[in-house]
Amino acid sequence: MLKEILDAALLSPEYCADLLSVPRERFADWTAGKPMPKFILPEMASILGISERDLTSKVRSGYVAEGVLAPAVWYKLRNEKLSGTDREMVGIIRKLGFYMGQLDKVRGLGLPQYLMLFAEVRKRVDAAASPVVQGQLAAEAFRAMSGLSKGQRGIGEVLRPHLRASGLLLIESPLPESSIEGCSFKVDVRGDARACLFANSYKSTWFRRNAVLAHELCHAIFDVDTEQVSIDYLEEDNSSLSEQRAQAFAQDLLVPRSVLIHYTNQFGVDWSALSPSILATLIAEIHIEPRMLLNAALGTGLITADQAKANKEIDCADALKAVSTHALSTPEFLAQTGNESAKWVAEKRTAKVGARRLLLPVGYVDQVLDAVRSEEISVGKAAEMLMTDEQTFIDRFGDLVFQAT
Amino acid sequence: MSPVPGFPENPRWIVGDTDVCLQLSVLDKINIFHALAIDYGVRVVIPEAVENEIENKFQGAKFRGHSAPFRKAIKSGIIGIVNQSWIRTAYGPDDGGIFEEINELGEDLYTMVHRGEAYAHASAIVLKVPCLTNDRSAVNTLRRAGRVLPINILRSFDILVFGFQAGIISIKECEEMRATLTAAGEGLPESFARCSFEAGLVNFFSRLLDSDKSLCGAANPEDILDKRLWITKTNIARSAGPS
Repeated sequence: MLKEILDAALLSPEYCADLLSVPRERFADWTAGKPMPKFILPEMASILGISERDLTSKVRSGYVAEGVLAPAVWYKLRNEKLSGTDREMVGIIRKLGFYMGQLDKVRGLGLPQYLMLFAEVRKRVDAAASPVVQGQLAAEAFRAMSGLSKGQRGIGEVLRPHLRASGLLLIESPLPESSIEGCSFKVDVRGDARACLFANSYKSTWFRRNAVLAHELCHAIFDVDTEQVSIDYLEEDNSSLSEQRAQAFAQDLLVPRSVLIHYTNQFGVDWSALSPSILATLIAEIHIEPRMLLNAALGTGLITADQAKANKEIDCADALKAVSTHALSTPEFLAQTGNESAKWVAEKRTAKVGARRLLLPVGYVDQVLDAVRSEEISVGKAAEMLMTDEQTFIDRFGDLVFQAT
Repeated sequence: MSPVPGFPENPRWIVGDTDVCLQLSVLDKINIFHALAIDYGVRVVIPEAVENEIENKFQGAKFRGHSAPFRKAIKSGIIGIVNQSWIRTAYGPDDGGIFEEINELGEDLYTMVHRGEAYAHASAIVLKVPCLTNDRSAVNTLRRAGRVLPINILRSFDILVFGFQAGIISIKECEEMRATLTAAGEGLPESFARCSFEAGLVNFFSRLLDSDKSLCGAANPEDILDKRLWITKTNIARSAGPS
């Protein structure tokens, strides 16, 4: 049934062979019906999101409508807005999820904490309420229960480590040819499913991605259990309940009223006469993009709709670069900080499968290096987990790993 | 039963890992495996995961063009593949679920070590035979995790030294192989890292030797894994006849 599944999921056998590190001819034999060896089944099942039994079963005779054999997550990825590149990136991310599960097992980590947090957030939200109210309540609950409310400050810098520490898989990587801005879905980890949030970093700012990740977090809390995957496209205006809820959640998670009031008071902001430098300062402190900031101010009653519209025209790009390194491009950042570390890190954590490249999460790379340093995993396994070969791994990380051992 | 009273039986198999098979294929020295199988009754076998990994490496630039000796050895049966039908042939229809046991252990070890390595160790442990691997990092990882290790851990150079001791390859060939592996950036045992094969041999504790030949290499173990496996020729007719 492998061929039918791949056809339905619009995945190329060549790419799948690369993804599973098997020779392409061998993989072609399997799609032609030759029995697959047992060792490949757990990994393949995890990446494709299908049971080992289904993977090795025969297709029932008779007519099969196009696409119906695709596992749920891939079925949604058949959308015509998505390219082969998008699907292949999802494949790499799912493989990453497989390795993360292995790493958790080796390190003796139990069920991710976010599962309880998500359940509690869902419990506190009235499903009969409007989508905006649902989003606001969920954001309030999430902030309170995860300790993000403390200090009434911008949470952009702590959001990522916080989500990762709770067991979510978080990936920001450039997808130049994609219309995907963000998505959330589940990956199989040791038979359990783990939520993955993805943000396309191509031509996107750090401030924008904070909103995208918060938006996808809401989908992960409410929608992914039933829909398997939630996809948000660039320039999309979607008024569905789940999108309205996610939009409200993202805004209230990143910039709740209390935070906005706190900074308004701290900087003595006159919202009726915003200057580029004050707008830049607010963005730099609250860690959100201008549009979301002004929408929040409008929602809080600090500005009128006309003022919000007028303020959206303020160009604060240069002022923002002066007050936040997050606004700098990589070359600008390197020139300003005078070191190569960011470039170094970016180069070191690039994983490659076939022609596709994925920037691995920093926390994940650190965990793999920690595990190999403490001999919880072998050097070959670390290379495999970082989707590179052993020699490249040694070239990239030899100094870091072998110094300590 | 051992052909030499007092010596343990030769193992029926040695489970090979990717690196060793690749190195011997690149060096075109799989004939040592041939001699092990025919003269000593010790056949090198590899799990499917290792065979897959080797074939995958042959697709890459580094090993492209070196597949012929390996594929020939597979085709002729000099190297066996540990799969369900091989287990049935080796153990009969009532094999007690050996293949399932290997796969279960392999999947478990795969969380800690590379895929090929995981299944090679799993096969050697379940079949209770030596494992042929150069991956010291994997062995250390498994030891640290308190896992059972294969009864013997052999390396590429144990095979080369054995080949030399048993008269299968000459010292000149050994030196050429050492030089080739060095040039290819392959990791070498400390004894051979900075000197010729002949000079390094005196310091190398070979873990595989022919019990009928004079001792070759260092007499005393230096490493915790230095456990010697003595094997004896079982094909006396062939050894007595013309080579």
